Amino acid sequence: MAWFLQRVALSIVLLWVVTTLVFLSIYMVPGDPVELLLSQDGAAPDRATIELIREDLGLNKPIHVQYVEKMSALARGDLGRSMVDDRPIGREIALRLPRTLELIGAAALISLLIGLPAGVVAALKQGRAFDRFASLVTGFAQGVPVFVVGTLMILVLSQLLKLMPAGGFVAYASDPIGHLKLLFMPAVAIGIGLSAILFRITRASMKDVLPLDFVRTAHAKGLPERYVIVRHVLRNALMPVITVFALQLGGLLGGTVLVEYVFNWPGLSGMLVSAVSARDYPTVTAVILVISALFIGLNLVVDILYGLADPRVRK
Amino acid sequence: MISAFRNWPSALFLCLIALSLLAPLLPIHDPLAMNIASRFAPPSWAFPLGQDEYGRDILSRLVWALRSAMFIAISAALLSGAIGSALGIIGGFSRGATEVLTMRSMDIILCFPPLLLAMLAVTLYGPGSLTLIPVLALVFVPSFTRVAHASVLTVRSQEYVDAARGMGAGAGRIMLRTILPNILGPLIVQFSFVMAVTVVLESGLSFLGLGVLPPAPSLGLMIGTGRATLAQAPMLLVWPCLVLSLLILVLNAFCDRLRDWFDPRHVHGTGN
Amino acid sequence: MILNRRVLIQSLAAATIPLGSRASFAQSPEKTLRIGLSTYPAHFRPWINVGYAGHLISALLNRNLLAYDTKGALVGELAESWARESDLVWRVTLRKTLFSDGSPVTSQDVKWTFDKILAKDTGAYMRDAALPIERIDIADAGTFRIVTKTPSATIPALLAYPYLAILKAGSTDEKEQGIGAGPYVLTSAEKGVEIMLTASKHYFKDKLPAIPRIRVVPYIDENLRVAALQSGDVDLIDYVPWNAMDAIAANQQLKLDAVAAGAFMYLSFNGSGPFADKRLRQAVSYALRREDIVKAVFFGHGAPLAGVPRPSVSPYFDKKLANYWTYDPEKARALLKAAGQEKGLTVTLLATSQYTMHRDIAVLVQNQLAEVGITVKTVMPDWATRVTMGNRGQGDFAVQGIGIDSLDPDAATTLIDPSLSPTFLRSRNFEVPGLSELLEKGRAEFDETKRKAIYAEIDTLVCENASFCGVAYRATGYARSKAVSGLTLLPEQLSPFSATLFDQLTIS
Repeated sequence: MAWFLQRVALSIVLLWVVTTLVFLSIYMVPGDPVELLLSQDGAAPDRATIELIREDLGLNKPIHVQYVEKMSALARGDLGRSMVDDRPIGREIALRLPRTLELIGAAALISLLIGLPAGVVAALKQGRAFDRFASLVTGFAQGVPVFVVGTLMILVLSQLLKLMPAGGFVAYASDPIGHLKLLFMPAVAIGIGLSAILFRITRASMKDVLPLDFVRTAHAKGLPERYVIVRHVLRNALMPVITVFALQLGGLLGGTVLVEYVFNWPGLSGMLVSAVSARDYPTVTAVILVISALFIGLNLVVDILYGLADPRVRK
Repeated sequence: MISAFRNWPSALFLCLIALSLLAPLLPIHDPLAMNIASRFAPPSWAFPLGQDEYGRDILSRLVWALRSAMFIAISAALLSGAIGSALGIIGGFSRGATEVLTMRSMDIILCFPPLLLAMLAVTLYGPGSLTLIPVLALVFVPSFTRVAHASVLTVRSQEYVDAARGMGAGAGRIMLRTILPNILGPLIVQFSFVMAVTVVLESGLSFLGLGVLPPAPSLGLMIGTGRATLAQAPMLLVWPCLVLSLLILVLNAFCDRLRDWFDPRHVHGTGN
Repeated sequence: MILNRRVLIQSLAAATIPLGSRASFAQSPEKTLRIGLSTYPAHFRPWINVGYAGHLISALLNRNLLAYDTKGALVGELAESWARESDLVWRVTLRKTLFSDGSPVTSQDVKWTFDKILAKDTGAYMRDAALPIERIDIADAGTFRIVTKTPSATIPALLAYPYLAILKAGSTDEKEQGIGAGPYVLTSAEKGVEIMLTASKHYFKDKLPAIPRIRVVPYIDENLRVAALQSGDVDLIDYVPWNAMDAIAANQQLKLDAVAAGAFMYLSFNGSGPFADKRLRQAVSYALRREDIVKAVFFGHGAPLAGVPRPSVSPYFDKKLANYWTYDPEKARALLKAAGQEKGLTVTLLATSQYTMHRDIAVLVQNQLAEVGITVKTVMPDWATRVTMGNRGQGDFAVQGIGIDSLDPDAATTLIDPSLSPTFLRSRNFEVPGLSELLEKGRAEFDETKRKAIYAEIDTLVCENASFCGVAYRATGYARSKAVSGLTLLPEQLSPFSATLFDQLTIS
């Protein structure tokens, strides 16, 4: 029990350190949100106006005061308001986070349907044509960056064949079919690379398990091939696959930037990118905090699962 | 050892290195020389792959972009490898507070997805190859630290380490002379892996305009601009896409070969 | 693993649907115009310049007192007539119009709007330009007088500025965009996703707008914006990228509306370094091959800018002065030599990597100046950093892009006079003797012939001193499906603000 508490406490400390680092580094970034806001298309705001608005936004307070205010607000669960449009950031994140998660989920589903079975088959038929072919294809699929896949998909599927909308978003509630159509291309763009990774881990993990004694024993007992594969091999090979896959998905939390950009998918990464270029400090801090919190949470869950599965981990 | 190099990934990898190193000596055009009059010119004897939107030689831009991608990848991997391994070895060898400190500080970096961390850092210090290398290096320090740390833990209690200690060697000497050579395998595998991932990240950042700065040639940048001129010259997009994909394919395959080679659990050739 | 079979089948079905029904998304719901916009506006607050995309939305929600027509002439919108009563007083009579909530537009609302713009804390873009206004005197609900501190010929042009919409008094307290008198009302907006507009029931133009609903979807990536138009996701896009103009013009289903001399790109100099010497500024101005830049950066969709930017429809346009800087490398080298820099000058050029045109112009300027012996080091951070660096006066010269939002010759003042407050968008740290006085004279002169002479003098002075180095006009383009008609554009530099004419659009 103490071990679990320690892990949780550690995660919270980590979160605090991350937030502090983000807060500090953001204030070192050159560029001023107010100047920028008032300088659109070459307007030249006067110093007095800038100072007035800075005062209004609380940017003129000493940094430690700002820090304490920010931290106590965050501790209360208040993510603050955007400097650009004065809307509550929490609501905006609540709107966008599900979209990014949906994208990741759809990509994960695609890779589970393609990468996992292909990896199992390839491991069973090592060195055969399918294995060689699949290994080559996944090697390539892993190599092609998402923005290349995305660009080519838009070119072929929407501009040439006019089969798919080029990009954008509609809410599922207002237009379910349209929503799924818009989800399709970005999910596939991520799913291709993810499938390749899943294929490789599954194949490698299966390869590790196949020559082990208990598999030979099972075979020797005369159990049917399929039964052995599913009950013994797959089951034992799956643990590392799940771990790596979970961490890959976690990595995607902030890694969908390029896909969201190419397909105009209004998710969390896009929000962060535009907040960074507008120097919208509160939004940047809040989004990074949420992404890291999810990431840390995911790691914590993986850690605890490992602890439950293998008591030796809890030294 | 010979068998490891008789295969295509290693051969191609060596070719890429050679091409990158020899780029300045090759009989190709200056990748920056412009000639607006012949923009989008189709392939010719002088310009085998044609000319781009500024009338620059596409072939030489691809070669130089490859060179810059390799340069950035190798420098970043070396830098992060050096820092990360050092931290991992020190952490694993010293144990106690030092270990907790080094490993936990890595967790902080790991909280950020790599692309995100790189983007933030680039915004902080401005784009360009010179900021790109330390930024990408920073992103991959934890992976080296973890690999080094894990390897040190298995090596630490080996007899030869005890022997070195018994002979009165200092901690620094043991870490550098005794432990490092024995954990080099996994580190080299990690190095090749980081190279491949760095190429992907760099191209992504350059694609977004946050990486290599023009007029310097870069594959990501060429893809970004090629997208814009798709109607006029589709090959401007196709060539860098092909080169980038091949580059990453070769690096990945090379990494696999190294892993097979260094990983004692795997027997060479097919399993079973 | 965790998935049960039903979920799996459902998701498989979902994944295949898109391929099956290709017809459904290509058609729009009844009578909704779908606009693909270049950016999602940062906010809908009035009077603040949030870029062309922000203006497009504002132009659909609001109206000004005056506006420009397609020929560049001032016409009344909310104002029926306007006249100068004396050197300091202008009298304006309002048309009988209603705000979108049905309440009448009165002098009181106009006065409130100007008070807001002149207040320090609204960040109004037009505040500086409106400062010569001393007060608004209300005569009755439909008439008021504008009293200026000094004689000002620019007042009518000021009333037509894109960022001077008249809003209902007090309405910005309830919602940020306030209540305007434009053809549309904002019904919902979701940041980064869509903006929904419906036709105002009280718009003053008879039977307009013809389209009952507008859905605005932001496509920040320009290539995607074009793809969305080509695949039929949207009916109209703004800010057509130059590389796509030829393809759109050639497409049978689409129509391109473009104006070659739209907004423009230029260089500004910082006099704290070597460019304090006007001969070096001139050398740069003579060393640029502007046609090449138009060809390479704007794919030929633009025009060289070799003088002070003046619309050719304006009476202040002078063909000779508009082509002042020719490509003359010999002269550039001679000027460098005269300035004692024949051994080679090294300077820093500030630009941004975030916007392709800024970046590409920096690359070309670097390349072309190298030919005359000027070594250019480029500094290209992201836009936010570039703005701050520019405001702090870093870099020897800088790539700039801007549009002029008025046809009055005074509009160029903020670009050409380095003695104004230092900002990132104009030259600084050197003086052009006599320029400020001439500009002041130009503002106070009501007689057009005399005014023309003054501005000719101003342009000559600016060119001689190279306090502004024009590079290229870039074409403004809107593209639409053939189903959309009634699109007309404002002339030349005003063309990016053409959304004020969108109330005329129809869709079949």
